[in-house]
Amino acid sequence: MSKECIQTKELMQTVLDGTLWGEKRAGFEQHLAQCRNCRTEFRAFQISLDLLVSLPVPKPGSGFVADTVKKAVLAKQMQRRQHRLLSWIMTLVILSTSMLMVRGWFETAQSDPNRMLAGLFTGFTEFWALISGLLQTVSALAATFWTLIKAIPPWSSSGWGTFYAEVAIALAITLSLSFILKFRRSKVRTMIFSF
Amino acid sequence: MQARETVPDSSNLIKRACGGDEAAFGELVHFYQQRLIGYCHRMTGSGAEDLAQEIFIKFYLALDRFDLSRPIDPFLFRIAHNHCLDALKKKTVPTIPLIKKEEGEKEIQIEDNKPNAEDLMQKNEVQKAVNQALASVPVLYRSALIMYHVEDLSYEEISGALDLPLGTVKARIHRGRELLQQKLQPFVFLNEGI
Repeated sequence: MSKECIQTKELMQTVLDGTLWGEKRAGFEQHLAQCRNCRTEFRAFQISLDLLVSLPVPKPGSGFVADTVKKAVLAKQMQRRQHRLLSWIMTLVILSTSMLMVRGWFETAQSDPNRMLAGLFTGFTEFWALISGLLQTVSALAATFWTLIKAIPPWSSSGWGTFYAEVAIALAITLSLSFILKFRRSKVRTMIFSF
Repeated sequence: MQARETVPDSSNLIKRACGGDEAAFGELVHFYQQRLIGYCHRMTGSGAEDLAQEIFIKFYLALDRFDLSRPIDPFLFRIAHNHCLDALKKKTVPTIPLIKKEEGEKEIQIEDNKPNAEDLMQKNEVQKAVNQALASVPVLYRSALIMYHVEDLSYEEISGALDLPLGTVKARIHRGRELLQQKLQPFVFLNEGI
């Protein structure tokens, strides 16, 4: 490959960007006119980009705009409802924390007026006790799961027969519950959308 | 490259759409529908209309965050890019090597009368091959390439849409061009002698 060919190759991307002008551009064109390899390579870039641009794409259906607007407006309404619900939950959390703090403050004020500020934090601690209660629930669930794992014969004293019976009963309960919940969910969904 | 049309008075339309004017949002959808469907089709290869609709919905939900002093295209194409990436993650897009000929498959024949890209596109095989070639270009290069060459966004706009430095955008476009050119070599060789 000649020195001119290397230089021309380096300039190809700049030409495709549309940012090569003047003498350099003239030199580039001149080399292409003389060199078949470089000409073919540059033409390959142009054709591939032309193919990319002229690739036929699907046309939108006649009701596309109306349908999109309708769905977007519905989605916006849903988003507003979700935001409203979230803000209510937040308000409730803040309100309950404040209530607990104020109650603690008042209670302490009655028994020991010098420790009123400490009473304020007693209420706050009560709120966090609630959160830790939730965490305890999660850990209790994990412990239950662990107990279930230990029910599998290699780790339990009962045999495989008992284990299969337990699994069958559990499956029956799960299937019945999921069927009931699915039914209820579909009812709820219908109610939401009709609303 | 096509000359890009700009949406007439976009900031006014967006202001009205934010205020709940459905007709204004409808105008925006009408203006951008073909461009977005085209972008999604080139990015994912299928389901473009559904994807475009989902993008418009996301766009509508995000309108409150839109800075009216900025151009609308990078904002919209940023949403489109992210949405297409999500869609591609959900489905596995088949990437079939273009050059490898399968058993029993006919070789693509193109008459040697120097046809242009539009003439070539009349052939289904060529469309299929371009789609396959495009699908085999990694998605990060593909998006930059489409935004620059098809959607006519500037480097700065693409940099804003993809949240990348200008140099990275340029590098991705250059690499994307090279990969696409390599994948479409067979068609180019058939046009040799130009």
